[in-house]
Amino acid sequence: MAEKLKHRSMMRGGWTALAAGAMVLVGTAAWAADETPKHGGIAVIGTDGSGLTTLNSHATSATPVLMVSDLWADGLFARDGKGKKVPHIATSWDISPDQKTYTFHLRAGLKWSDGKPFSSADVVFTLKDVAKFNTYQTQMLPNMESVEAPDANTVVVTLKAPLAAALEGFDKEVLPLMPKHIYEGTDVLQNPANRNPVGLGPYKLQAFEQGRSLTFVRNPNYWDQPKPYLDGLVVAIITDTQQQINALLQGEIDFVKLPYTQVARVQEAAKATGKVFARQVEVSAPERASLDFNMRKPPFDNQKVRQAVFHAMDRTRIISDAYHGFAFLATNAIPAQFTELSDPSVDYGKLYPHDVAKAGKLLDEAGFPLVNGKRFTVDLTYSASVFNRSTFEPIAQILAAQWKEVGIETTLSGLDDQLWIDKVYKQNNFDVSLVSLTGRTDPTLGVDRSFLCNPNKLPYVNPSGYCNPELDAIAAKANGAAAADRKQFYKTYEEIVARDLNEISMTNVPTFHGFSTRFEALHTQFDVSFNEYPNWAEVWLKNGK
Amino acid sequence: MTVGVETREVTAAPTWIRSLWTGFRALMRTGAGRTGVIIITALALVSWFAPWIAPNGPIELADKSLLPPSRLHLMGTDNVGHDLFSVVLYGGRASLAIGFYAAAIAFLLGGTIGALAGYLRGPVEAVLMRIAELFQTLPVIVVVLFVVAMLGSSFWLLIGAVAVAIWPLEARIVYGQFVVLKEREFVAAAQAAGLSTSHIILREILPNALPPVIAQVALDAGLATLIAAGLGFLGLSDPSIPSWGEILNRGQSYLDNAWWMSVFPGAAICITVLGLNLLADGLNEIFDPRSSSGTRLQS
Repeated sequence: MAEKLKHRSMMRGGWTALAAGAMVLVGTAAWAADETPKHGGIAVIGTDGSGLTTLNSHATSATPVLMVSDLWADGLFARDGKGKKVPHIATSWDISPDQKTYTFHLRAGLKWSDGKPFSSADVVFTLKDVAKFNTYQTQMLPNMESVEAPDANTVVVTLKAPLAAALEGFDKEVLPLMPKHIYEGTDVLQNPANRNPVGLGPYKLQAFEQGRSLTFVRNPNYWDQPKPYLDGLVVAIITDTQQQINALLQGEIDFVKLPYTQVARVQEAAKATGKVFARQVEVSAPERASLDFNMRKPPFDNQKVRQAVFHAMDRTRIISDAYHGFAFLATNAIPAQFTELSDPSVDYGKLYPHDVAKAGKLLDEAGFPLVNGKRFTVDLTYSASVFNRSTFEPIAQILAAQWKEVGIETTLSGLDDQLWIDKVYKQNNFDVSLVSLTGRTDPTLGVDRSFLCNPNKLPYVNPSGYCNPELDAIAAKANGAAAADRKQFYKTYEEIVARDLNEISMTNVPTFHGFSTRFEALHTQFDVSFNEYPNWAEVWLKNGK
Repeated sequence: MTVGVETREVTAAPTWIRSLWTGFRALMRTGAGRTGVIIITALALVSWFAPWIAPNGPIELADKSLLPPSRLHLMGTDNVGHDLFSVVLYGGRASLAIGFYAAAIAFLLGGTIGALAGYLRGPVEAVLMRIAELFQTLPVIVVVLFVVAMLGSSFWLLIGAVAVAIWPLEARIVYGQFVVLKEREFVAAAQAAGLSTSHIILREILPNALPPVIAQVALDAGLATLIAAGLGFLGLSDPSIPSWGEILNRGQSYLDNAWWMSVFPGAAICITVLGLNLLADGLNEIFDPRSSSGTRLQS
């Protein structure tokens, strides 16, 4: 069996071959013509590997880290294809009538992937000691009065004030549970377990070859037996988007997040060969490509300059050329896909239409007259990791050309992920930063982080230095109000952001994944309506191989 | 004594210019060298005059993206709508400028170190040349990749990185020349005349050492240009300044539907490499005493 698998793997590429030799094999390959999931086989995920210096997704929200985290980590609940919450580590939860106390009932007798017992103390530890590093928890944690574990299988979270989206903060993708016995008393961000994680997810890490691959095998202690179905998963780091797609089309990898330049190619290949499949991920709030301004220093400390650069840009060009038509214009700070919350009457298209003359006038008023065709030079920085660069570099080039028309020279700094995070979020040594941020399931998680006061220096959290108590107060009201009342507060929220523009949301962008049709019954397996990444515990392969 | 010095100063400059001119004429007599000189000169001229020749600016969005070559856009447009003809012209500027500046800096740095080591000998020689050897053991592309990965890629940083990577080549050749020339009579005469060390190095030895050094600088300029194109292709060039490698890198994603994004910058790189290789062949020929033109130069 081992030989057979090894042979097959070598045909599929070096990563699998590497993994196969070491894997413990338990699968069988019995064929049946029904849709009963089968055990066995190895799937290969392709990624550019950016940010994979840590696997702890509390420490970063870089895409590959989140993707890998879905393999080894789990949380209180996940989502199904219709967005419904599905119990995972929690079997159920109660919310008190005053909306301030959340009681989670946990599965009994669970074990971590290292065999140590799991209990409510781990959940308490995660919330108290690890989540403070988490970009999605920046609004939730300050509102938390207490976290207690009255018994081994119960966790009670009490909030200072009701928070409409509080439950969203416990989803497995934004709050992966971390083991207390590994992290207690250590520096969480430096703990070696960040590279050799112990989790509750369907797989556990077997080997991590830096810059090459990560090999995962079935976690024998996974709570939802007989899942997972696969013997293992290999995360292959391929630092070239073209090669990623070639690998997908040639059957060397089975899954990859598609760069926008390649979506059409995979769609065509899907029609021609039937061996691959391109699919738009149905997240509630797509990513928003945004510009963060450093408001600590000139020229972007001046509101008129920020407004001027908005007028100077023609966002339709970004959609057509950087996103190949797959994105659409952002209406305002709250993505329009939050249909119950976003008020489209605050419309960037009307407030900041492409108007070069207006931009020039604002810059004149701001004290930056045109001298010899030039006003000033700014530094536009972005993550140039493989996936990001395929979109960010064209966006940056388009902005540089459009801003030049109003006399702004732009220096482009495409940096390695870690350098960019350090420059923008730790050192705050930038003029403009280009980033794409997920809205997650509620503005509290994915949107507030860009606009509210940010005393900490967490990655992907408001790097602009903008701190407006008025906006923070409105956000608190929006977060605490009953569902029907939230929209009115978000309208004020949108108006304040539209005026101050510490961050410009340019476009909203859906995510596309490319799959191999080796996976059986794709529609039931990849329930990704709200979670951005597949629930890999559910995945099985045709014939189990 | 003073008279003697003045005589040397008057005659030194024309001597080295004459020797360079002789070398150039010898180079032009070789088929490869002549073709190389013509290609590189043509490229340099076209790149230099890019602002007058190119219909659009290097970062200007000239038209819709991915338009095929036409009368309006001779090489088509790229993925964001730059006029590719303009970008290739300006890209040549960046590529050749990186080569020129990097080689010049490497010459200044390596030349100084090589000259001091070769002239002073002893412990200075031991230390300086070991440092040069240490740098020489590092693969050029690895040094450059390291610098770019640590500090990001900007135009001048790239030049500095390439210069740091190639200076030992200059150092070694200057050192070799100095070791040989130091023993010649005119140096002994200058020393006997009580001339300062800097004077002897700069005015006596250096002019005589120049021809092979110039050849090395030319070769290094080519190497630097190629490294710059390679970095661009790997996505490590300065994105603010269009370069051939960078366009080629972007073109990869559009091979299916926009061949022109790969073909034109690729052809530009090919022609440059061809020109530089021919130039290098010509230089090798005239400095190789066993070849007929080498003999010609020496006569």
